[in-house]
Amino acid sequence: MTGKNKSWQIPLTITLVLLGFLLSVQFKVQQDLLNTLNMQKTEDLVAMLRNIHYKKASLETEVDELQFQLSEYKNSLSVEQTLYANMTLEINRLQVAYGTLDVHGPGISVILYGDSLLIFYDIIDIINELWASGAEVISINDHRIYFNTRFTDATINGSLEIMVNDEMLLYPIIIQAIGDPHALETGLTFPGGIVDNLTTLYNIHPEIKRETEILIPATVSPRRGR
Amino acid sequence: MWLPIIGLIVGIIFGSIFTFSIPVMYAKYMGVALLAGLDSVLGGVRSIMEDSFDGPILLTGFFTNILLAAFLAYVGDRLGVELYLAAVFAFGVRLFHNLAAIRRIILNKFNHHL
Repeated sequence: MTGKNKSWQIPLTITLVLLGFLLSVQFKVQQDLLNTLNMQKTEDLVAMLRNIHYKKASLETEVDELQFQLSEYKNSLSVEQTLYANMTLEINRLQVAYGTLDVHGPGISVILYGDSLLIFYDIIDIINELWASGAEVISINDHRIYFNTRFTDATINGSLEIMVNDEMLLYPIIIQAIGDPHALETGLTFPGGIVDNLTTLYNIHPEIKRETEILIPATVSPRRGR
Repeated sequence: MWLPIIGLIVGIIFGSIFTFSIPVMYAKYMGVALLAGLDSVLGGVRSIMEDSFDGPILLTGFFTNILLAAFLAYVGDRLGVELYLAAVFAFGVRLFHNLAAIRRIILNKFNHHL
């Protein structure tokens, strides 16, 4: 024990270091083994199973809810798309009515020559008759008719003239209307209608032509003639 | 005297610090090897007491015992014979034998001093 004091310590230390290492590694491995499902108590396993079932049920509920939400979003999306399409149509319709869009299509022209003894009420009657017959857009001598187009009369150089938005209406008066040409023409020419009245009462003979293509430009400014 | 104990503690700490872990299916071989290692260490302590200590014998005995025990357990598993029981039995008997010898030597020394 005295002389060999140093010679036994080093090998024993080495073996003990290795032994300690093996011990703790084995301890850990055994601990892992005890934590595996096979080694658990039956009551614990039952509790774990119950927890997992509960969790699964709640997750399934969540999936259902999310799917319901998804279908709701899809529904509202399609509703919004329909709404958008309707709004676009509505905007288009309003723009046509307001006069901010160029419009072209088939229609008729009504031409009134200089020998006609017209007053502005006749013009208004013709235009209203055209509206009633389904005209979409009407213009008179390049004045597009929109919501505040005004027809008046004024005496200029001793003669009574028809004024459109305070501008003198020159002959020949050309009224153009876009719509179904047949409907528009019959709307004007049916017996007892406006053209019949003008012809028989005032000897005015408007010339009515069906057109395949009429272009009525947008009003220069929607506020014009204020 | 304290160096081997410090070595043991260092080894345990190292083993728990390293995340190194052997597969669970080898845990049995490892346990048998551990028993063999423990037997070798006790044999070494006994030989120190008997003044017949030899460093190379301890080291080679430690490693060969460990490897042989693990190998025996492995082969036993392959053959369907629980051979690791032989290792457990043999090393267990030697363990207690060594322990008894150490106890006796310490008691003898104690009596001498008295």
